[in-house]
Amino acid sequence: MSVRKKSLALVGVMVGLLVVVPGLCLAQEKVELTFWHHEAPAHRVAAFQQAIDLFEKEYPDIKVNQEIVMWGDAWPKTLAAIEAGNPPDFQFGIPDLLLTVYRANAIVPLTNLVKEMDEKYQFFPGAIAPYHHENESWGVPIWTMAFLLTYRPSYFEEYLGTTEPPKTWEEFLDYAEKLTHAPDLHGIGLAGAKNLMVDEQAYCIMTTAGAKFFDEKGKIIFDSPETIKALKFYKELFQYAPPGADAWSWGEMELNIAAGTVAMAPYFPSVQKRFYEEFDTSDYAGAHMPYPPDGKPGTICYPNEIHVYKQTVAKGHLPAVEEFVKFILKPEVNYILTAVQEPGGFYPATEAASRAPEFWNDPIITRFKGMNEAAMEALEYATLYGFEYGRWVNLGIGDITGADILADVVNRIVTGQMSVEDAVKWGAKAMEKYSEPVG
Amino acid sequence: MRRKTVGYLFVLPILVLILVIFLYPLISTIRYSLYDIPFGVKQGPFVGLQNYRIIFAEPVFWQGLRNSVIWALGNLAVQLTIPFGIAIVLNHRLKGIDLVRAIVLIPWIVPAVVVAICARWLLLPTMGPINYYLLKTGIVARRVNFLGSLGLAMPTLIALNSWKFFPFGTLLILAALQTIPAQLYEAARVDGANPWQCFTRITFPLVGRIVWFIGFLAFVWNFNIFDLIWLITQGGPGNTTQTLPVLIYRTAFKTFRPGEASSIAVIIMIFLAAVGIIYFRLLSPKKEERIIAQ
Repeated sequence: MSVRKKSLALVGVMVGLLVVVPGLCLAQEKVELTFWHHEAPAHRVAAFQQAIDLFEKEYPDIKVNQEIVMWGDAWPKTLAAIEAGNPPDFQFGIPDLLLTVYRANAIVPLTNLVKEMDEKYQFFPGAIAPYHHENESWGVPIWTMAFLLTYRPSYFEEYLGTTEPPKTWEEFLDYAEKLTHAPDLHGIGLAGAKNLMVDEQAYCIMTTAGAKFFDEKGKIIFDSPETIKALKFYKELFQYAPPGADAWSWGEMELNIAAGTVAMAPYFPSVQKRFYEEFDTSDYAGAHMPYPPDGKPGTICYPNEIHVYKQTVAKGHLPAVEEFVKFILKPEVNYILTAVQEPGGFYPATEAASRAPEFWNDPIITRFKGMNEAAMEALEYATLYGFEYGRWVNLGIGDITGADILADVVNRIVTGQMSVEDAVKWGAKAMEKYSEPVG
Repeated sequence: MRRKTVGYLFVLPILVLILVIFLYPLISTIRYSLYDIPFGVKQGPFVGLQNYRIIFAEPVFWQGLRNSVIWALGNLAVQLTIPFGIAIVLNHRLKGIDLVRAIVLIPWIVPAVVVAICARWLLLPTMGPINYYLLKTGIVARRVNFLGSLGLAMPTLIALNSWKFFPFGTLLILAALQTIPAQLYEAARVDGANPWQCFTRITFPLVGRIVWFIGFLAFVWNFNIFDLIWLITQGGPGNTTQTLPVLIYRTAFKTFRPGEASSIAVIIMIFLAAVGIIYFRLLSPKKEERIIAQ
């Protein structure tokens, strides 16, 4: 190639670059957000994508990518990403995960956004409380989950001559006994293994008796008459659970509820999707958890939130993330992440979304309307262990949950390894190892 | 000199690979075990042997060690005897034996997660088919709580794990059996040896070394197994099936104490190295057996 031709080619390349580079720069103005969530089933991923597609249509300058990290990997992968300085822009989480990233000094407060959304849509108290610390809000609740006393009305009718659910502990125990017709039917689906589900089932009973892990200053008060009373009741109920329930996890519980081998179970009302799609029956209902005469209504709730990483602010992505959060909190959009994503599993975190016609018009939500209304009512008083005071009182709660200490206590009781009193004493001591009172 | 350099160059890739995937994690684990890593992956201050002191003071560690030894020895006992028996049967020239040999491999192919999920369903006391048939045939009078009972969970897990392992042992022993010349058995029979004598005097001494080797492999593999136990019982009921690898996982990823978890990992490493030294030094087959085997 002659010098002239080479020069011409060089000029051509430079002209080309002059044309292409500004174009590329303009294209880069489109903000690209990446977020992690932990809802791996295909229908949940599809629901997320549905919300993202609507958002991208309304905000063509923002591209949103969902990445799925399984719940089991959420903690190590998040911490590794933080350590590597490359976390996603934002992430869906639960209080334990939020506490983890907060303690890793990786997130920014979202107080103003939460305040604005609260004024507009009114968060349920139990949804917002686990994310408040040192006068700041660190996560924005997007949906929440709650346990109810789920049951099979047909069994109530057949064996008890009523469709009314039990309201007191006395009735609860009586129902469990009368509904037990072993080996085919057992009164209650309660488990006793060392896992998160048992933590949740036990807390459902404990909270109705007023038992807590911590006092207002974060001191461990697990070894209390209330805890002992609640776990004694748990033990009494457990005698009407199917054999082998001391080894159950989520799968076994849902299998037994669906198969009709248990008449009642404190559980997420999420099996309604199966009853609707697979069995096409309405023989599945939910009610408030029964409570003792000196107790109060109570259950567990698990608000799911969005938290934002420091790097997101540095990248200038925070405004785009805030737009996305505001968008998915709109009641007419939020139902996609609740009723569409997992009917009965995920409920609105705001009063406004809980009244949205889009939510109530979902065919599964409609079929099990009574159950879903009870869940909405329960969200008014539902709490999460360690987060009952509207702020963080003990930073060790994540580790205490991670170690499944409450479930371990239950396991020691139901397998006869320890008396209730000794197991509770052991549990309180085990919690001390991880305790970090905020004061 | 140049030839030597070229030789080193050939070895270099594997050396780098070993350094990256073995030595670096090993040194990191030892280093982490000497630090207080209070939360997640953030490194805290150097604390010397403090993590080891904490671990040794925990009853759950000693229970984990005891469970690990029971688990490894229990598996070893099953995994050495049953594959031996099956290999002897498969060593016969029978019709369709090749198909049977292929079928025997199935448990080895099945992923641990599939074994775990199927086992949990099959063994359910209320709805599981195993209990159904045990009751129906009168083998048991009432439903057996295989995975929820304090006394049965560990033997059940050992049975499941051994079921998955047995094709490996069977194939190795079968390969060893096939190296024994048929003339040895013929000569023994001519001399009046019965089948038991053939087994104890010919078969066992000649495959002894391979059984001895499988024994060590099985012990170390089983000791380090995490997936099947976690997927089936998560260490329960109580802590009866919580072996040290399960405890490491709980400590590292459930309560975020990587320093303590690393110290348990180092203890396991030292323990298994000690077992290896004892095994190879003291339990090695006698020299003459080795000569026969060769």
